[in-house]
Amino acid sequence: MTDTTQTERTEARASVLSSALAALPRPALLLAVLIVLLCALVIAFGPVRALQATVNGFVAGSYTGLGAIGLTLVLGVLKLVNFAHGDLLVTGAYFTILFAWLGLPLPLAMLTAMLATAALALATEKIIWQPLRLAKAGSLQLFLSAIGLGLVLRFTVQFFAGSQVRTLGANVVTSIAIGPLRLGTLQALALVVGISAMVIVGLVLRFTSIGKEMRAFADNRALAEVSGIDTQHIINVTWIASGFLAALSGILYATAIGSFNPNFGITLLLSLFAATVLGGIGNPYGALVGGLVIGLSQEWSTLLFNARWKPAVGFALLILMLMFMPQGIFGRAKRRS
Amino acid sequence: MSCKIGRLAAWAAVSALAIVASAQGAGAEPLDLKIGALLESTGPLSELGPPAEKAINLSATVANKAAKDAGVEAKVTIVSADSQGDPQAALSATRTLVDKGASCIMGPSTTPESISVLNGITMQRKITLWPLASSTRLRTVKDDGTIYRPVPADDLQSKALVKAIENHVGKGKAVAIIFRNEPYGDALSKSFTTDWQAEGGTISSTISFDPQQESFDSEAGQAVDTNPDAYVVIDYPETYAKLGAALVRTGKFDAKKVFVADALSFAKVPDNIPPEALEGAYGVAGGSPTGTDAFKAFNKLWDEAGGVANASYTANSFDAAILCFLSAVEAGSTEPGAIRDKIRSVTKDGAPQFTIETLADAVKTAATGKEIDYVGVSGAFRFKDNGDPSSSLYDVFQYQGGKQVKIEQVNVK
Amino acid sequence: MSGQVLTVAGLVAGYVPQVDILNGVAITVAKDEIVTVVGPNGAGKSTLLKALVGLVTPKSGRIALEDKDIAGLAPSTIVRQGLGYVPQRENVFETMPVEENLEIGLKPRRDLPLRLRLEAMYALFPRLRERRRQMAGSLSGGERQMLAMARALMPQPKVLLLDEPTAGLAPRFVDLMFEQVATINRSGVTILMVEQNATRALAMSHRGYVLDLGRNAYEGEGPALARDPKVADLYLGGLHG
Ligand SMILES: Nc1ncnc2c1ncn2[C@@H]1O[C@H](COP(=O)(O)OP(=O)(O)OP(=O)(O)O)[C@@H](O)[C@H]1O
Ligand SMILES: [Mg+2]
Repeated sequence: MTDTTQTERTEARASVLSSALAALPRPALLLAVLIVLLCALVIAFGPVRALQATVNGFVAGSYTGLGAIGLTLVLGVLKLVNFAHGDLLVTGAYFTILFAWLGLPLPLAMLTAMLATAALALATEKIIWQPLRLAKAGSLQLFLSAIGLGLVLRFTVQFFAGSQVRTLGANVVTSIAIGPLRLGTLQALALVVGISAMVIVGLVLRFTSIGKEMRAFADNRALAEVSGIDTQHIINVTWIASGFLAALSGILYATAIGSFNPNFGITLLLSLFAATVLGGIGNPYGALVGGLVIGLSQEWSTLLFNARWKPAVGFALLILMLMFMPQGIFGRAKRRS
Repeated sequence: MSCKIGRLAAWAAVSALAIVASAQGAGAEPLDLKIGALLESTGPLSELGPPAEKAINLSATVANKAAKDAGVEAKVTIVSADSQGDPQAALSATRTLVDKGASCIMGPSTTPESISVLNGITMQRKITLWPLASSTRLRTVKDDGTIYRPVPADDLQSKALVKAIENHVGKGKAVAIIFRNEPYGDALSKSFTTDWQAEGGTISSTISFDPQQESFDSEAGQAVDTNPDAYVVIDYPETYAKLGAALVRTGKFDAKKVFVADALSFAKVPDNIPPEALEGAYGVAGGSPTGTDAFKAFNKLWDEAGGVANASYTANSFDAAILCFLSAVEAGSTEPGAIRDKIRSVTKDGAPQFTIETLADAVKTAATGKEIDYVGVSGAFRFKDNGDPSSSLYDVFQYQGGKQVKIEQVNVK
Repeated sequence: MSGQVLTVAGLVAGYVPQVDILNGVAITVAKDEIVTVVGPNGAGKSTLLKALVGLVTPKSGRIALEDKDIAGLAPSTIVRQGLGYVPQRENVFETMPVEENLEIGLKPRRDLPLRLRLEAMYALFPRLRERRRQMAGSLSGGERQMLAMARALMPQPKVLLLDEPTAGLAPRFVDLMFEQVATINRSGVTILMVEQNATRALAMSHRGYVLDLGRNAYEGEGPALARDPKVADLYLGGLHG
């Protein structure tokens, strides 16, 4: 009897300890590694070059990180590998062009485009995903449907808007000087919006009723249903949020980069998935931090190697990091009893 | 024995008949020539599509008029398709053109596209390919004599860049090279480095970038950090829109120190490239001898036709299509292989010379099977064995107020 | 005891079109009762509870909660009508803290004050109060089972469906769990429970049913059924387990 009690207690304590170890130190550990690396780079290349590369890394990371937030939501909550997400970014940018062409002032055109893309994402749920779910489609079928949807979106954009290079006409050459460092004004905006979007989505998930329901749904769908959660409502909200965030990041990307064509989504998609997986699926902080880590490693690598290698270095590092933390930076292993 | 002789005689008779028949056919049957145009209508070089298309369409108008004036029954139609700047897309576009009966292919603008089209279809079918791509790699690929390049290769462009920098910045200065990591950028940056150093210059940094990236701020920073006397930029418009913006954002960039290679040569700076990234920048692109009557006649035709502004290499595209037409007339056939075998007969050094102004006479002479020398808008064609031109006249231009202004021509060998 | 809270008649249900797991199950649960369903592995006990809560759609038969027909409704609607359900496995939100699990549990009854319900649950399961900030995935087996029950009790259901509450628990926890089931029942919650620990469960139940191959095999008063040699013979392993 005492034996069992003892075991129970140690077990409980051990599980608390291991969960604390598993949950807490990964982000902290990563931060420590990043700081050490930065110090090393400052010593090796001087503060200006190292810090400028860091600033550039944050900018590159914010583009992917912001785009990945909507992706990680769909992946985490709906367990859907949405290969069409990159094309939702594109749709957002081109909706902006459409509404501006129809005569709306640019900021209003952007907002309308985000709403339109959110509506489009919801429409894909009604037209494609809900029927597929009811037909009990497997994950391979869902995955292929997503690829197909992406193609349809991309070619529809190409059909109406052509595939030539477009611009939203924003001034991409102004920059802010911070001492000897330079940061593009629109890049700074992208960074601020990226961080704000992450914090807002994070807070919504953490504290609001719908956020808690989304997390519960992501964790255990059947249990969410029998806990009285209207699951179709959660699915709809997730799509709307994902579409809105995709359009937001697509528009911001198009504005800050300055020129784009309908293929920018599919080009970006690999980085979006990388950020999602590295950050820990379903976690908006993870998506942005994952994006920033990839961005930083790529831009830092330009100090050491020729810039042509930066995508290779970034993805090699990604594989390496996933070997040490397969759940991602913020991911949690599900314990099975 | 007698049996063998009999068979030989029979063969001889049949071949003789065939020859007569084909000769008669050439005289009697009207030529219906289709020229295929692979255009960069979309993709990273989409700025090049519209002017090339207009040039090739102009050549058809001019050729048809000349045939009519000469009383030769020959008609040229242009069939076109989008190569998208992509080897795979270029290949399938070429298939479409060949299915539509194209006898010559007016070529794509990049080396990977050209090689894909060559290996995938044109070499096997003996169809002449007229690429606007300028890498030296096209010189050495196996092509069975089907590649005729109406533009000079990049080792000559590199020398033109050297001369332009020497003329406008000075000899022996420090140059930073920024190039897109693709065959075009790679090869041109290497030959420029060699040529510049041979003239006593130094290279302050060589930065190559992956064109798929979204931001180029680190690359831009590295280039300006060495504070060079000049920058050589080998890039396409789509990526320079981003790279140029990044260069300006560094705050230490002076566009007047920039020398761009020919892929960034346009009549008017496109909207998506920030004006500050190119204002005052110099550049080189293959040129045509200005001052000739042919040059004036071509410009007049161009302006009268309306539409897009003139750009680099339009004269070369125009001339290439005319050469295909003249060779078909000379061969009396629209069979691709027959056209291929006559290219050198219509660009024969020492034969009677003709230009676009005397094109009707050229057609009349070629129809009789006599050799001619078509002197194009872009100059006389002296194709080497590998299909490259020996002509090497380059325009040096500068962007002033967003427009290209030609400031001089340099001759390089 | 007043009228029936839950009435099941002629229930046929299964997971795939061709195969019926339940072949006409009939069960009634009166107010304030503890009713236990026992039967061999694969008899369809869990399927019965899933059909009641709407996770498995019934093909035919009647399910009435008080006088409302709930057969074929969505799970979220059924739990709003007053049915609470604790699944056999994966019965907590592992990536969420204990208190958020309870908060989610209250979804069917937005009219009830959260604080009060939390306090009631912590009073019932003091262990959970200590662990309120801890991730449910890191709880011990017994604690999980408590959390799962507490989650289902948050909206004050009329009937609580429990699927093997003692499965996989240490003996000390089994006693505790049965005590707690009794306590919950005394506090006015009607209970329909499926159990492997058949003797113990039947002994503390008002009535019991024995299910075999998706059909009612025996039924009767709980303690009497527990002692019935026929039942014991048929389901020896289960009854002495
Ligand atoms: N999701 C499912 N899909 C298909 N068949 C299922 C599913 N779940 C259970 N079954 C089948 O239904 C039958 C009854 O299963 P059920 O879980 O109801 O049995 P049980 O009486 O609860 O058994 P146990 O005592 O082992 O929990 C079994 O044959 C099982 O294989
Ligand atoms: Mg069961």
